[in-house]
Amino acid sequence: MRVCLLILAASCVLAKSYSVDAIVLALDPATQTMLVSHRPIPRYMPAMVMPFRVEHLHDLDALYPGARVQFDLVIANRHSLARNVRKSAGADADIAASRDQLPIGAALPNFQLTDQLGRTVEAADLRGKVAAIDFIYTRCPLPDVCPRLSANFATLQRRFRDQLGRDLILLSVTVDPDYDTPAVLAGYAKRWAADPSAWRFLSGDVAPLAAALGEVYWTGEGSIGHNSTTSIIGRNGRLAAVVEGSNYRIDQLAHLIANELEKNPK
Amino acid sequence: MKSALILVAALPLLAQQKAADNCAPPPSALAPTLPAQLLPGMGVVHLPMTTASPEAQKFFDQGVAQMHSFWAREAERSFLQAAALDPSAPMPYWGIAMVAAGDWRPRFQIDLLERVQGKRVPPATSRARAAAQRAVDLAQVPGKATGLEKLYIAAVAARRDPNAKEPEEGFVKGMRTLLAAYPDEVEAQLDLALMIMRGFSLPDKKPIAPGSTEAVAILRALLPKIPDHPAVHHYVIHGFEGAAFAKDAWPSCEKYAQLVTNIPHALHMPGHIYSQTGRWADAAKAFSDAAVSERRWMSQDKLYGSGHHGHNVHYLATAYSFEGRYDDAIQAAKELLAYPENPAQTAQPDAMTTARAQGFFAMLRTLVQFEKWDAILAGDLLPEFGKPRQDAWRHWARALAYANLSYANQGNPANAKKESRLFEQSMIDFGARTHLPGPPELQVARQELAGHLELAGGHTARALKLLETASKAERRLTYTEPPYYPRPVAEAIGHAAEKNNKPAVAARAFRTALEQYPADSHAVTEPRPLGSVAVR
Repeated sequence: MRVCLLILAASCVLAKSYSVDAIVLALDPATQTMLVSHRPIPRYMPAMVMPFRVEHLHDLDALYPGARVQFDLVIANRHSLARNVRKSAGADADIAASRDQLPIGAALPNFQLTDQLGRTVEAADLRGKVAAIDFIYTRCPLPDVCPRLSANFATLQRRFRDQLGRDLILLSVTVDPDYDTPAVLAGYAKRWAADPSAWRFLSGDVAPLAAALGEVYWTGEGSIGHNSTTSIIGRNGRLAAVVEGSNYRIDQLAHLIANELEKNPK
Repeated sequence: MKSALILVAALPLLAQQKAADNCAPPPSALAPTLPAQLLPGMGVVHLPMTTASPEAQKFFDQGVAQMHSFWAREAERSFLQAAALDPSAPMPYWGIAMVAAGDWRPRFQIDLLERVQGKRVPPATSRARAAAQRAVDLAQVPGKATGLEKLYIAAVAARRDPNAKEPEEGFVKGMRTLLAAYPDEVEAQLDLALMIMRGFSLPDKKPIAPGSTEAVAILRALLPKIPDHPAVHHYVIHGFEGAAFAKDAWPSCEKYAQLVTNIPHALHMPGHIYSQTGRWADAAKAFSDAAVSERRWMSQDKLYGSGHHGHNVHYLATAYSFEGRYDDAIQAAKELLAYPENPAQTAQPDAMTTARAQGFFAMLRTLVQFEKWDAILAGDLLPEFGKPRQDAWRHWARALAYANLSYANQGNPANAKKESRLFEQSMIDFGARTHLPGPPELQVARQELAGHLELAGGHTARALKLLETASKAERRLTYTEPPYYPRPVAEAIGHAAEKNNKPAVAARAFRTALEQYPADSHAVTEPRPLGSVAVR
C-alpha cells in the first residue's frame, strides 16, 4: 500500500500541467476527446490543432464546436489529459443569449437580405457550401471589434482562395441596416478588397437572422453594441459552430472552417 | 461642491460604478450622419469664419450654439454640414475638435470624472484629434483663416495633442494668448470661463481654485454686454452652482430657457439651481419642459439613448416629491421604470444610471418620503429589480414599512426583522457580485433602519439616538443631484418625535432637513397640538 502511494505521489510530481486556451472544433464522446485549435502553450507547444482526452465524459456536455475553453493540460509519462475544462468568456459584451438562438445542428431558417450589389441573398443560396457568417457595422469606431472581424474575413478570403465561392461563402451582416445601405456596404467591401461573388455584405431586415444565430445588438447613447458572433453553417444548411466575440486567433476560425470543409468534402 | 454633475456626482458612487454621469448626453461613439438641418430653438450665436458660403456659416453658427449647450452630437453634425458645404474652411473642423470627444463641459466636471475614472480616452476622441489636425492644416492655406481663427484653432489643437500632459491647461493657455491679442472677443471669454471654473467646496461653499472666482468675474462682466447670448447664461448656472451666491443665477436660469427652447439640457439645467435654492415648483417645471423636449428627440433618433432623460425625469420626480406632489412623482417614476435596459446593462451586476434604475430610485424616494407604507408592502409600485443594490433598497423600504406600521399597531415587527435580514443578504450579494464595498448610502440606510426597528419595539429614546447618528452620517454623504439618499433622515426623526410628543425634537429635526433641502414640504415646522400627526 505504501509503495502504491509512493508511486502515485511520484507520478504526480513527474506530471506537468499547462494552462491552455482554445476553441473547440469537434467533440467525440465515444473516445472522450475534444478536437481543439489552441493558442501557443508557453514552454510546451506552438498553436495548433490537437485532440485531447478529457478527464470526465461529462466535461464535454456543455461544449460545442466554436466554444471558447480553457483547461489544464496534464502531461504524465504515459498519457496526457485535459483537466478542469471550462468555457471561457469570449463575447465582446457579456450578455444573455437570444431566446431564439438555434442549437448546434439546427437548420438555418430562410432569410432574404440584400447584398452590397443589390442582389437578394437567401438561405438556399448557401446550399452545398460552407458559410461563415459574422455581424459588423461599417461605422464601428472600435478597432478591436468590427474592423478586426472584417480583417479576419479578409484573411479567410486569402487563405481559402481555392475554395472561395465554390465551397465557401463569407457573409457579413450589418447590425446597422438603417445606415448600412447596399451602397454604403459596397464602399466598405471595397475597402476590404472583398470578392463580391464570395464575400457578401448583407443589409435589410437582419433581426430574424441575427436572433437565430445568437447575435444580440442594441442602439443608444450614440453607439451600437453587439456581442459579435461568428457562425459556421455546414453544407447541409445546419448550424455547425458558433464563436463568440472577436478576440480569437484567425487560425482558430480557419481551423473551424477547414474542419467543416473536410468533414463533408464535395 | 454642488456639482451639476447630476446624478452620480457622488465620488464613492462613481468610483464604484465607473459610470459616466448623465448631466449632458454622453460623447457619441459614432460620428453623426448628415444631413444636418437648421433647427429652431438652438439659441442665436454668431462666430464669423472665413468662408464664401453663407450656408456654411449658418450651420457653423448653429454648431457653436449647440456646443454651448453641451449637445455634442448635434453640434458635431452641424459642424460636419458646414465642412461639407465649404471643405476648405478650417473653422468647422475647429468645431468638431471642440465637441466630438464629448468633453466640452465645465472644468470641475472634467476634474471630477478624471478623479474617479482616471484619464479616459473615449473612442470619439480620435475624431476630435483628427479634426484639430485638419483645422491646423487648412488654416495654413493662405487666405483661409484670419489671425483670430488661427488662435482659436491653436488652442483646441493644444487640447487635442495626444502627447499633452495637461490638455485642458493647454487650451486655457491658448485662450489667454488669444484674449491678449483680442481682449473683447466674447466667444473666447466664454470658452475661457468654462475651462477655468473649478467649482466650490462643501460645506463652506468656498472657491476650489482661483479659476472659480475668475470665471464668475468674467461671466458677471459679460452679462450686461451680451444679454441674449445663451452661453453666458448657461455658464453662469454652472459657474455659480454650489456657491453661496447661487441665487444670483436665477435671472440666467429664466433667460437661458427662454433663449434655447429646443435643447433638453438647456431646459433642464435651470432646475439644478432652482432645486438647490428651494424653488421646487420652478425646478419641476424646468425638468418637465426638458422631458417634453427630450422625448421628441428620442423618438426621432435611434441612437439618442435614455440616460439623460433618466436623469432629468428622476430629478423631476425628486422635485415633485420635495414639493409634496405625490401623484406626479409616482407618474414620473413609473415612466422611467418602463424603460427597458439594453442587454449589456441587464448583464451588469450593478446599475444606477440607466433610466430604469433611476426610475426605481425615484419610486423608492417618493414612497418613503410620503411614508406610503401600505403601497410599499403591496409591491406593485416598487418591484423586484433584479440587482443587489436595488434589492437592498427594496428590503430596506419594506422593513421600514413593517416597522412603522407596527409602531402604529398595524404591522408586524417580526416581518420588519425578516426584511432587515434580507437587506443584509442583499448587501452580501452586492459584494459578491460586484467585488465592491457596500455603497455608503446603504450603510447609512442600515443605521437608519436600526432606529426604526427600535421605534417599533417601543424604545423611543434609543431609536431617536440611532436616527440622529444616521442623520449625521447621511449629511456627510457626498452631495449628489438628485440626492442618492431617499429622504433626509432628519425628516424621519421629525415624524418620530412628533408621534412621541417631542415637539422640540421634531422642530429641531425639521430645521435640519430644511437646511439640507430648503422648502422641503415634508419638514413640517408649524407648531401642532401634542400627539397630532403631520398630514402630508
